[in-house]
Amino acid sequence: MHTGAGSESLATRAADAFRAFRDGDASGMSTLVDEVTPLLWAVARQQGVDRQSAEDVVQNAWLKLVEHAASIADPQSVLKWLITTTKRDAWSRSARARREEPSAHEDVRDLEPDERSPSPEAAFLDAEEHSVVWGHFARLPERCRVLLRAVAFAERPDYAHVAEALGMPVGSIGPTRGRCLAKLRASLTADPRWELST
Amino acid sequence: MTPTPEHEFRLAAQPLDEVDRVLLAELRDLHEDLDPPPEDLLDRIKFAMTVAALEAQVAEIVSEDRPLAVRGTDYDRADTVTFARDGLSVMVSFEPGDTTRTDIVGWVSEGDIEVELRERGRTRNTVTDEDGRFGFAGVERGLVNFVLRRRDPGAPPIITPAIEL
Repeated sequence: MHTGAGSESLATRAADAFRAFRDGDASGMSTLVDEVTPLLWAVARQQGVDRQSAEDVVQNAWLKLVEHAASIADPQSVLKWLITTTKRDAWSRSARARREEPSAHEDVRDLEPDERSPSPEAAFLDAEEHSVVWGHFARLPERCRVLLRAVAFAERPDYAHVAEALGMPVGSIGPTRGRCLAKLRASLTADPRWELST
Repeated sequence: MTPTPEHEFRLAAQPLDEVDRVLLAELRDLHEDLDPPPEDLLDRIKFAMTVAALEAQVAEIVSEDRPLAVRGTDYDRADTVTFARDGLSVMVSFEPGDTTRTDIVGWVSEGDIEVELRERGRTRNTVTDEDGRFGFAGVERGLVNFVLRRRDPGAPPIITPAIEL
């Protein structure tokens, strides 16, 4: 799935496309949208917003990038800027939704199942039957799920950058494994079913 | 073996390895299967960004004439589409079919309008004649937009939603 160009990081490709866009060449932005949107979607959903809100949040992050193009001083920070913008917006929507629910709705059953589920993990626990990894991932602390789902959609040179954009401490991941991936590895190693599947 | 804090700490301090790569790839695949972004999200984002970057007005599709005969997958391909916005209307026609390219002929309700055709990965420009006619030859099939500009530099450009040729 990692179809990106060789050794360059996502952050560098984002910087190049953004620089060209600011100089009047928008052709690279389409590829950038293709490459970065799955990561932003992961970030938004992991803040606990429903799918409709996640769509709005991700689209708004891109629109804000166009709007604020002139004020972004360092193109190398564009990826981080997109992640931070997405996370902040999704977080505030999710906080608002939590305050309003369930009292804002007369009957909780009026809500779509999608709107009720606080996080994808809860909705997809069924997947545990199909994947040992999913079961262990779902039991990680929330901050670890946020981090690992996001870096899964980035490339290795970007891990530290992504962690920083998510507000995680330095060293959360990359160049070393970090605590979250270590927790996942440790719990998988202790599960005999995982040995079978590797 | 039960994981201990010491064990976890040691694991955390090691460099990322091949098993981590495989694990993260599996996490990615799982999330892509279980909670994928909507299929049309990328196209909608790109369209919204283009509108924002051009500070354009979005035209509406006023009518779509579909071929009467249903042939294979051609049934959902319009052959004439009319758009309108701010007193300007545009009609574009093209031949439905299985060829890889098609010619587009169009007509705008005003003359002397600059018409930009935005295909996947390239753009082309032309200007309508005094009767409002314009044309593009050999256009690759797929999604296209048109951007129309009046000569008045203060007038915002008008962009059409994407149509499938």
